Amino acid sequence: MGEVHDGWSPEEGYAAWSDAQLVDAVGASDRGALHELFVRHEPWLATRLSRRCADRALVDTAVQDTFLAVWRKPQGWRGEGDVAAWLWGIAVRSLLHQLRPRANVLERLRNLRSNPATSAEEEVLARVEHSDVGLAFARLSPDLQAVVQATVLDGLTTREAAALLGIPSGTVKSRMSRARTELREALL
Amino acid sequence: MTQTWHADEETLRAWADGTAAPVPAASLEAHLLRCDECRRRMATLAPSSTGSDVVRRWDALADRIDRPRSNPLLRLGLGTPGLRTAWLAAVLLMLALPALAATTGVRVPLMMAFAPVAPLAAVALAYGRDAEPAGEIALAAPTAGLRVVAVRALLVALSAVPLGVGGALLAGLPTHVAFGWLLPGAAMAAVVVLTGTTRLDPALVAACVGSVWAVGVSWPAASRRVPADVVSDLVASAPIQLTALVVALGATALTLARRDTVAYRRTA
Amino acid sequence: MTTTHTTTGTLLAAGALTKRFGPLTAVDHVDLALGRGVVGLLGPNGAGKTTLLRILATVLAPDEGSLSLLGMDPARPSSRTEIRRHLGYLPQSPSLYAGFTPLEMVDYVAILKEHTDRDWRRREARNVLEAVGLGDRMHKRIRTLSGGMKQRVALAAALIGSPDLLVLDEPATGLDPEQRIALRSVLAETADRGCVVLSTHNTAEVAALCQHVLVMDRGRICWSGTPTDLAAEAEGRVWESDAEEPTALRSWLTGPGRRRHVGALPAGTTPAVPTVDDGYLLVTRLSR
Repeated sequence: MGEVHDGWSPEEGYAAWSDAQLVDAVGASDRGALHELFVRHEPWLATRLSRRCADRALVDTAVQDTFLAVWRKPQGWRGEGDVAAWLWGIAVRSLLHQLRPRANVLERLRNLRSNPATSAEEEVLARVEHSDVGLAFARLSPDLQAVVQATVLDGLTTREAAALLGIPSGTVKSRMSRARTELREALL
Repeated sequence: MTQTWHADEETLRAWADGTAAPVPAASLEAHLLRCDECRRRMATLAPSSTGSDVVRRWDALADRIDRPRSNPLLRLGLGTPGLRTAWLAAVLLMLALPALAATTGVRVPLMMAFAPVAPLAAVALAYGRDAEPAGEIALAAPTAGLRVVAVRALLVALSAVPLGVGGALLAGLPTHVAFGWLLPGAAMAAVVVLTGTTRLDPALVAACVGSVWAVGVSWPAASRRVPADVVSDLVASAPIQLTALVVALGATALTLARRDTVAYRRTA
Repeated sequence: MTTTHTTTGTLLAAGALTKRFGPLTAVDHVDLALGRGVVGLLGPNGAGKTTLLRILATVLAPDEGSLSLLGMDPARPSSRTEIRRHLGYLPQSPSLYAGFTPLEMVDYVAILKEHTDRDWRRREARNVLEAVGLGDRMHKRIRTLSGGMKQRVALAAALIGSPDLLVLDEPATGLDPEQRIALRSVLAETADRGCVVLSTHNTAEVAALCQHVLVMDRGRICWSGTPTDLAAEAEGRVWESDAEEPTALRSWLTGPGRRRHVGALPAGTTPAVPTVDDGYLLVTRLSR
């Protein structure tokens, strides 16, 4: 049982499957495919979530909800972009849902809205580490950094970022505009 | 998109530890979304969130997904084609009869003649082999026999009976007609359940008893010798209702006394 | 009396067990005394194996004879129910509801076996489905599974609740040799504490799965022993040649032009190394 090869199905081997193939198989109720997807993506998802939220129990629940959503609605994956980006979109919203259990219906509907594929910003940011932008970002105050991270990097809306950071939406907007100004000034 | 670079071990470790600076962390997070290789390496490096954590979280997840989706009633056999047909037939009959009786049925006491047949059909089909989702496996289970058959028959009958009574009342049939068929129906159903404990085929017995009743009740009216409402009144009269009650109780008691023979009989 | 080696006593005993269907006697005065281990019922189609197994599974009542299962008499309703609590049964062609998933199917059978604790059922159902190699497919609809997988779902249903008596009608049908080995290890667990009776018409399966063989023909048990004993039965009574042999009880073609024979060895012939097949063909022919 378990990891031991049991001799029942010699052709087995999820390791060779791509993420997209695994999601398709999950669509056909393949439990083994979900397990493989879990083993591949749970570690980095959990780690990235822990960087947003220190409460381990909340992270556990968010991870579980993420894969539960994958199991129940694998058709949410439309076959575009990276499976990892789709998973992160679900995961960060699951965490948000934990932080804000009494979200109203309207907001829950908003959460159901399509998850963003990897945004152009992320591609840019992937290359900014040692650039002027990167240095300018590093010089921002932690408050402003957190807002930029939530909105630009995690692709959250203003309201979602507000919920994640535990501050009013208005504050998110004003901090974002301040960050924009400071970045512009640093780069000019 | 092919990757041109990979994160070094130190960066990955710092990120996993939560000690990475914001900018390298942001860069790595964006990179991880599209680099399978770095995700794999990160999983082997991360000190806290791997190994036992993955197993623990998977077990918790598995407990949520490994719950049967269909509800217990469905699994009792209501989902099987045999019982679904029985239920559908019973419900349709129950819906059609009051309507027919109200619109056309002055000559034949439709309600009295045909409504009691519905419970009969339910019981006969509950005995049928295709009503059992597990087939022969179920016969070797400790619950095999009367218990399962009775629950199935009750489920079908109980869902159909209120429709029949309610429909009849709505269609404006007299109260004694709307309720008068219940006891004869119960009596005949109990007799069919009883035959399940003998060598007779319940389906055959149900067909015979049902036809005899239907013809017997509708014949005098159909041949214009007796008006339909007189027949209905007769069926609803105290002596016949009382007889039906006695038959129903007697057959049920006999069935209970002989309940252990059910399981063997079904396969003989 | 056919007896297997027992250390804990007899789990299954039958005396002059007989079942008739009209003029046909399907099971004809069968005597059995089985203890722990895997017992294979080997015989041609129509030998009465399925009828005997259905009687042992308490699904069919015998016409005559005595039967004791796990020390209880299945003719008595209360002990029959008690026997069934410790019984796993795989019918010859199990009919499973195609709309269920394997997990739901096994869970349902567990309900029929009076297991009321949901968490227990989930755990056990998962265990038995993993044991038969269906862990990854337990959420697919049964209608989407192959015939061999459906067979394994039914096998898992038989295994749930760790029964002490396992009655399996042709459990290895449709399994390849590697899967047969997997089946053996699944059965070994039950065989350690209880009795497994399975039927087959394939001698290779008997050799792979069973510690003890009963050869059944025309409703009777005509031979009993270990698979090795069955092969040894043909010792010195099997040979190969190119021509037909008048002294052979049975001859069949093996490869191009070669014939294999069992029976009285003609003088001057070198006997071949006997197989379980040879022994089986010999004892069924001798019993007629």
